[in-house]
Amino acid sequence: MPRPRPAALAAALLTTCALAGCSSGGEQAAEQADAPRPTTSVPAATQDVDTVTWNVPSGEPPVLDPAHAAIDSVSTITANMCESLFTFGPDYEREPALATGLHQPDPLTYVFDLREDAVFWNGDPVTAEDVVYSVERVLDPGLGSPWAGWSARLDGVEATGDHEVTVTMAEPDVLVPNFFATPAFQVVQRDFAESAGAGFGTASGGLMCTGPYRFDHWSQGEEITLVRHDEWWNTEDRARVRNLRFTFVTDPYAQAAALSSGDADGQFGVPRAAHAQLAAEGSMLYGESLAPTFLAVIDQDGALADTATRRALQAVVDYEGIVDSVYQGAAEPLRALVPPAAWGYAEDEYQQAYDALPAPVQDIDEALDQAGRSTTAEETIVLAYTTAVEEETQIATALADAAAQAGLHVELKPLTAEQFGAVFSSEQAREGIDAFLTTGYLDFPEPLAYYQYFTTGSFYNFSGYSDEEYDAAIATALALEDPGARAQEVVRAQSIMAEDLVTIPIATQYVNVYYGPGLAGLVPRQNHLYTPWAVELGGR
Amino acid sequence: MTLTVPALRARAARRRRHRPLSVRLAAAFLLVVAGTGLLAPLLAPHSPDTTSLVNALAPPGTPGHWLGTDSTGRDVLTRVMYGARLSLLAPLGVVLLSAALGITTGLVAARAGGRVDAVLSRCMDIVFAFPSLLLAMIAVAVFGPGLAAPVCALAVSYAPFLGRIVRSVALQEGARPYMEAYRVMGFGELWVTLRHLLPNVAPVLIAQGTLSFGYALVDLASLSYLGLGVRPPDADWGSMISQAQSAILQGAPWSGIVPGLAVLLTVVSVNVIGEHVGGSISGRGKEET
Repeated sequence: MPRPRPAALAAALLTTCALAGCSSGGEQAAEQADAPRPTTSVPAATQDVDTVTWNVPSGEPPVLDPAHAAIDSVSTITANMCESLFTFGPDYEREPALATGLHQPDPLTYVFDLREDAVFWNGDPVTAEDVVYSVERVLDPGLGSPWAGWSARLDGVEATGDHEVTVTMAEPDVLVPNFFATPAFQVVQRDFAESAGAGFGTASGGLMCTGPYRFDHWSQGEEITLVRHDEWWNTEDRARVRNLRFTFVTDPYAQAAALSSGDADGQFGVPRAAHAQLAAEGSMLYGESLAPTFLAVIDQDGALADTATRRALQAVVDYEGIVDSVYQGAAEPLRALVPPAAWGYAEDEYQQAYDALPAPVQDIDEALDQAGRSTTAEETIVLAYTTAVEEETQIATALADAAAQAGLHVELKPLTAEQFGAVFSSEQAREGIDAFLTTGYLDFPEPLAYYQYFTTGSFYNFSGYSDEEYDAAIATALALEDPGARAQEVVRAQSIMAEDLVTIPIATQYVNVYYGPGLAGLVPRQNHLYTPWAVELGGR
Repeated sequence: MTLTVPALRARAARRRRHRPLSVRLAAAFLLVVAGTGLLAPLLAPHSPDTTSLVNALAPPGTPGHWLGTDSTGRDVLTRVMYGARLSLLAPLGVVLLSAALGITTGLVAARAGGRVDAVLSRCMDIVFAFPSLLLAMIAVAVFGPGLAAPVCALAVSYAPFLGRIVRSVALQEGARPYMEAYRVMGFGELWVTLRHLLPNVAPVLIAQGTLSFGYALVDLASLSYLGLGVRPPDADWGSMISQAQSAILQGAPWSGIVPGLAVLLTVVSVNVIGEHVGGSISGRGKEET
């Protein structure tokens, strides 16, 4: 049994104090920095840089296969290596990538014209067969790609020319074109992937794509390095950074120290607590996100069965406190599940509907009154959250206290990241939980993509929510090409959901990026997950 | 040697006079901590769970929050006072449980001898070799979070320390003539063990128990720091330090420093007293031989 070492404890405390700057800490915390605002443009990079070390805060990726690029540790890296047929522009507009054009001879057929000058890193040209293979590979149930979901209404994919691929749908699905710029359509070389087999995307197997960076080396547990692909077809957006080195520091305190000391040159998703310190040292930038933080009701028969109880729970959410204190201004309160930044079309329609949503009651007395009318208000509400996200821990703690003051009984259930992940895949893990606090995100600005998860029978509809009118609105919207008409159906579903409070929206936080004083050019956008963001980066 | 009652009183008074200042300060500090924990509902200025996001990370000296607030606006002084309850009670539970286990195992091993002694001693060796924190973490993984599982696991882990000491002292005492005399007089083994052997090993146990308390406090604080101890929103010092991490990054370290100091000073105080008790026992032993 180790002896307690008082001297060591004292030294640790003093070190902590010194690191935190005890003498000035009070002043720093007391002074509320100006609220962060989203950045839409920054001066372009003007210098070439030999090596940039970029930290991935979510840790080392399990694999670098674009078919598995649904977690940010994978997508942040593969986005610079593998390209889709199209890519997202700054405002999510569809821009050509490996396809130069797309035409629809009829509503169910998409014909892609492939780029003729695109080559893989090994110099081989990209063929229509490579494209068809890549798309079908994602759909292979044996691979278990999370990107296979787009194909629910797919009829087939085939090469219809040397540089032409045709996707045929069995039924109309307006969401499908959005996937052309996601990893669902990222292209890998068929011969390489077939010969690598299960080793494709691993440290030993590597991968073969066409993007601006090629895979160089993966030292497991330590780093992944990419080297600029000088034969990339896009000569207009030539990358200025020659070598990209990714590290995997997950501890927030160590991340702040690495970024501050220059051990890491940059990172997306910087811990909120380090923003003020880093803003004084380099570029700490924010961007609008498609990510809502919300309470999801997952047991419709338990303590939250009654809408009045849910409304009372919503009433005790301190929206202002959460935005100002928890997110330090780098967020906006939410009234609907899908944040305004995700209105990719018919913005006026969405804005009008958003404004018409009932504002959450922010009066404890009224909340008490509402809870008093509920038949389940006396029951204990078990609220799960992950301790891996500091902000969500704070929100859950504050919510439990506010609920107690309003006469509701909230029992907190803190979960590790692994336990929380299981909540999304295992019914057993959801046992005994009434609601959970989480942050999700949309892959592209289409509200329908998120609202469809709450239709009857959907995999992510954990609570078993079922409303005929809601289902009908979503089904109609999925077949409507006209943006305005589609938006009308989506907002109809949105208002039904707001009335039933299957989810209680809380806030949408900004995405953020930090890079050191010697770097420039990168604007934080959520689409960095699927676009080659590193080509924007360079020397100042 | 025969001493009269006045002579015994004089010796006790002499010992009190010779008690070092550090021991008296340590005892006073522990009394204050235990007292504030016990009377927290009467003394604490706020409820330990009352949050106020608009008052988050208020610095020490803020009116109404003399030691500041944490990242959800809870009063640090209040939570340190309430935190003393679990932070002191849980290690006490570990010490009492480990004492019960260790004393029983040590006495049985020493008195039974032979194979029983060999088996129990090897069992103690095995548990001794297993890191206590790891055992506690496994217990949490198996039985779920909360204090009960880690307290029991740490008690099992600490038991060999006391068990070995008890066995060793019991073997020494068992070989003394007075023990043989009791047996010859026809007293039963259990009676001799409980009535005469146990009191003789008690001072050593008290000294070791105080030291174990310090170890247990640090281990439990470490578990709470890792999020494996008390359930939120309950306050204990380890979880308070854990929750203060982001505040430290924001230049607001007080919500971690105050409970950190509470752990530090409590462990130091317990150790000072434990070492004094141990020293007194060995001194008395020398005096009496």
